[in-house]
Amino acid sequence: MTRGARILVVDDEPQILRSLRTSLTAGGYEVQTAASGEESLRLLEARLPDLVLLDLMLPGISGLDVCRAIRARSSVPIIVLSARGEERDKVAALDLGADDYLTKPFGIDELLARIRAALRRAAGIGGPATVIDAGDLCVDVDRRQVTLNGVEVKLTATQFDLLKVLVVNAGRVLTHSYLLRSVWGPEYEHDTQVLRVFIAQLRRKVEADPAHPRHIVTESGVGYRFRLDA
Amino acid sequence: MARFWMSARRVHWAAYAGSLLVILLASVGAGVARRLLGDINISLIYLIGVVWVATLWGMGPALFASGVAVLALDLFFLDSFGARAIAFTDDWLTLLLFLLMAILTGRLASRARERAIESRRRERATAVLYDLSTALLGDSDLDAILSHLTARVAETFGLTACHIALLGDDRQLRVVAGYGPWDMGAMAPQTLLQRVLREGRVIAFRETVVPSAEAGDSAGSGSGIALYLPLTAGLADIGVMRVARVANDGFRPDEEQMIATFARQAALGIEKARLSEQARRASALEEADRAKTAVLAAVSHDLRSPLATIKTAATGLLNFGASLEETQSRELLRAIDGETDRLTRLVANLLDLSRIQGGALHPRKDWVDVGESLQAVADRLDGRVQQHIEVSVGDELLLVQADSVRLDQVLTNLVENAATYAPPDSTIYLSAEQVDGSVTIRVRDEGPGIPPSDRERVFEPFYRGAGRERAPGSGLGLAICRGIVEAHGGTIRVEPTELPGTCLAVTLPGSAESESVGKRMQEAVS
Repeated sequence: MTRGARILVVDDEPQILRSLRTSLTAGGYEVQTAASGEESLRLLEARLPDLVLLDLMLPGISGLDVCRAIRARSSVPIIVLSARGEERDKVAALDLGADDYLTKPFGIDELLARIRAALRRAAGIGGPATVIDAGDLCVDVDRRQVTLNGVEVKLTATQFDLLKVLVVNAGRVLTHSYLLRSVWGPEYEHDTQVLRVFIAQLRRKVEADPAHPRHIVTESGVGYRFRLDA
Repeated sequence: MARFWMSARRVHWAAYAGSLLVILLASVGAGVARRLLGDINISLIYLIGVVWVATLWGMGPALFASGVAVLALDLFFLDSFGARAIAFTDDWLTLLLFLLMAILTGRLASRARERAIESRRRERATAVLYDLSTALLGDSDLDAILSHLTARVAETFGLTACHIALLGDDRQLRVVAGYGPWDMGAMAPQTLLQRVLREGRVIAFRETVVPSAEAGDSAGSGSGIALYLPLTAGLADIGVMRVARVANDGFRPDEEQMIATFARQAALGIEKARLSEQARRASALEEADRAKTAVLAAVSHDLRSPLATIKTAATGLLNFGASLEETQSRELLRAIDGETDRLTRLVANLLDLSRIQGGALHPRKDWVDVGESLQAVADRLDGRVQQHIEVSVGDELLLVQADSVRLDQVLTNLVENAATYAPPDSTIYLSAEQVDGSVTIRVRDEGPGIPPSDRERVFEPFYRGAGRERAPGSGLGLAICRGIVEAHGGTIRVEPTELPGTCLAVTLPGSAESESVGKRMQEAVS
């Protein structure tokens, strides 16, 4: 990357803005800050950031509304920041199209890792990657073929559909309702029990050690994430 | 009361009939005596009859018996001798003598009888009084004591009603216990009761006193006398006692005195009960205050020490950053990082605790794979604790309705707690099993264990076991675990175990659905 990616940080806490600016600048990114949702939407138009770090607790228009407004006009990756105990908002933001979340307080190393992953994903979107290589696991989306350590794995149609949604969104947190809607249809959106059972089944087939899943990772209270670089 | 009158009257008629019978007996006796002993003064035999009647039934029947006796004497005996003229004056003399005897004996007998009745009543009153004092001395509930008291007083004195009104904090009198009806009618009881208290003396009223139901309908409602007695203990006004009886005559002075004694005793008892209630409340407050102080002490220490470390490290970096060696500055930074985590955990715990105590913890329930949760916690903590963590769950998928984030928090707390007390390199065992639909998760360590006396107390906030006062952690972990588990409708307890160490067991209720759906799903998939 010749120039550092442009990151828009939206938070109403000046101290957080200051320290994030310092750290992210040191990490090689170009940083803009906004202290309110209104300001962030203005900057989004004016500066075209490559990624948005969005705090959900904002004065004026809420973080969720900002998330919705951003998605209405841009596919820029959004990482939401939330305090503990706001799982509901977190899930809502992910359902509105946010890519990832971090719970405050977080370490900068963790934040930088998430930013890198989100940017990498954004760069890859639209690419014709139909064969996803996740180390020991390889998924050929078009030919509906899965191999674990070179050995073919037999999956049922539904199991494959679930795995497909996970791998094509690798790195992203997918909420329970998103997965249920994508694989089973909107009427199954709240049938999380079905999802639990299928995830358990899938792990037994595609994880080298199903008890310690490295690819299909649980995001407690939120959903699942497929990790490529396990 | 009306019933008493009715029965009294019945006794009267019986007495007159009895008198008649006695005189008849005396006549027979006199006849026999005369036949056997010749001409003796048979009037003496009648006198015995009159005296007997007087002792048995009092003056009225005795006077009646005197008349009958003289008449009988006249009819049966004097007449037969044909000495009527002489007997006439004699007759009057005998009658006079009989009457005199009847009055004297009747007086004596009725006084003795009254005394006996009186002493019986006193005996009963004393028994009730004793009863009352015992009840009041015991620390049972004041309302129960008062309703017991009113019933007993009413019974002892043959009252239609007995009520107690107590003075509230707002200086209003409220009836707190009562026996029998109180037809307040057009009266303003508040004004009247206040007047009784103000004047501090017994006030008697003639009012409509509806008799209690068991008096029967023959009695109907009648007017009667109501006494209002002030209840005072020392200088303090406590309330008013009202006693009422359907009767034309009021209360006898001795009755009134006895009732007043009751009222005094009751007042003292109420005062005592109130004082002990106040003392209890005060000690509860004191207890709460002590707990709060302990909480503040614990929290302020736990909050301050990481802050102090952070401040020291940060100012050290600010002042000497340039001259510090790489390793030194990293050490300071690591201290800041670590202490921040500690503070974060503490603040989160305190927030959770206040949510739990305020009943504001609402778990967001969803299907959770218990095995997965256990494994996730074990994987996360494996490197962070000094013990080995071993997870054993069967192949079966254990699904419960729970808030996965909260369940994770409970399990993390339990494992961290075990790690605090168990020796390094020992093993912490995590297991889960399904019994009758509910799922029990066990976290067992090989530490020193918890003595049976502490098995409940460990769930109190800020409680640390004896000898563990200096253990790390805020002492909130288990209290929060209990709050979360109970918010899920589950239980958490220290399970007695044969093995050394501590076993904490969390049981989460299953739903009827979970098993059947789980089975169906498994069938459908495999």
